Amino acid sequence: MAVGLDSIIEKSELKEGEYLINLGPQHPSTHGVFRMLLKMDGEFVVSATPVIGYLHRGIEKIAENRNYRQFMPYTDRLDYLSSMNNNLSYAIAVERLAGIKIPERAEYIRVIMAELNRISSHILYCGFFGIDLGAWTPLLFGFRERERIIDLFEMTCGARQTYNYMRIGGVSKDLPDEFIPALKEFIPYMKKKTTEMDNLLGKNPIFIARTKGIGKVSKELAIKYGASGHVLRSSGVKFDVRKDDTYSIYDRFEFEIPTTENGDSLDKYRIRIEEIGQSIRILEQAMKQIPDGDIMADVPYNLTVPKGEMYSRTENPRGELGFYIVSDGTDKPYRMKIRAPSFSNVHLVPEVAKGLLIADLVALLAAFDALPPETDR
Amino acid sequence: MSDEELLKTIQEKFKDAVRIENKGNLAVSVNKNEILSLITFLSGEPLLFDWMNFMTAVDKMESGTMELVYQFYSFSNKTKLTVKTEVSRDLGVVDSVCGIYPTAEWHEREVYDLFGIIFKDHPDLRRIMMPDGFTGHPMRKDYKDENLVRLESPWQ
Repeated sequence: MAVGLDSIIEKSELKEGEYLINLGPQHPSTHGVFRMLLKMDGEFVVSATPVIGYLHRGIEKIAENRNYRQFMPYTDRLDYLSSMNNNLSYAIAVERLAGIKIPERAEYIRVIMAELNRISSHILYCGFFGIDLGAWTPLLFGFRERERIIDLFEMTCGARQTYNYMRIGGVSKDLPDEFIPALKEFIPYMKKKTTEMDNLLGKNPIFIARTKGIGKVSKELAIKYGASGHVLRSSGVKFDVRKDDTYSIYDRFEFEIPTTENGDSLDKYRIRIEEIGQSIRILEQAMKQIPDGDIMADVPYNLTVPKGEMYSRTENPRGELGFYIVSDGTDKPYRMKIRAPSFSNVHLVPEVAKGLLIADLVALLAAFDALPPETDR
Repeated sequence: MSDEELLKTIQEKFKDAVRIENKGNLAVSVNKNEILSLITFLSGEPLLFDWMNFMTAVDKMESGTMELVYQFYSFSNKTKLTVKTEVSRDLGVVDSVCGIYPTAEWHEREVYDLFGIIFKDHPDLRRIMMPDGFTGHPMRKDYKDENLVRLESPWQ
């Protein structure tokens, strides 16, 4: 049943000269099926109400009828641009609850895959940011860089976007012999291309003029609204789950957490570009340290998790992805709650969208980078 | 701050707070009447739990209750905390914490939409995930959908 504009904003609430407009679920600039109801006064936004739920698939309900091994492909489809990170988050959540220890080589492979996926997600973010403001070139440059990364993934697990690569207890396939030499060639190429993307966007006076000062999120607002990831770090809170609540083997690598103070859209872009450089640092270190060995722990085919509950979280490209799993001792979870980063991040948009022009609102949505499959689950 | 110190600080003010089994961090359970005052206490000095991760519900059919779960994190003290409370399964009502944590607005809307728990003093309690005009609360364990037809398997 369609939602009329009247049910959310009463027509009587409109002052003289104001009107309602729909930035509908089908729109090239909303990053998917995301809808905003805008109360406009001329060209300026008076209030913006997000309407979500167009991509609600009931993944949490499905989880109650699948056993732990069967649920892994569903986590791919939560945030389809960072599928390896979602797999990693779920695998870590179940392994912590069941007390499974995984072999060293599997840990290193997981970190390499997660960081490669982070780089591909960030470079695509720069591309989408460019196209939302009207710059066509960064989009195709971002996709070109992503193709190199997808080639590496396809070499290993056969898939290009939803990998279903990690397993509870390790990873499913070992790295082929060509992987590490190809990665060694990829790293200097990626460093060059990151500088190129930054020259196109970050040092471009038009881009700076369109994003500087737009959608300033203060530190208190970001904390109160449960924001995470680059939204939190751009407002001055130096928090990264990889450092402050560390998981897997991230404590063995040296990397920094870029943080900025202003909280506007330009800062959010700046943080993502810096994070590509930090992920490349982690990749170089992981490539040197990776040992030989098994890739999968000895996990029974029908995995049952002992009774208990736990919340475990990891750092996704878009923020903090967490799984709260309640287990009743069988092989299926009793309740699985997925804490999606975009759900909390996009809740901030109405607060900072007041008084913007529609073109600035599009820049704001691009900077927040909320993906509907993750928001709606 | 260690788990024992945290538990002691909470139990000094709230005598009925009970420690619950949780493999990740400290978890306490209180009566639903005290939930708003406990969360107000947690967000201030000295504990400073300023960040709310999420808020959700777990449907426990055997005991006839729904369990609400709140997860907090403190940036200054670097501690995690889980707070749980129990509400009745039929038309359970509990206080909303939106006044202290604005992020709870959408989380509570989701719990209302999918589980059917009403939050008092919530500014805008309406469905968020399901389409408008939908009846029923899908995440409940006893939810039946007339559109969902279980097909017979030919080889069973």
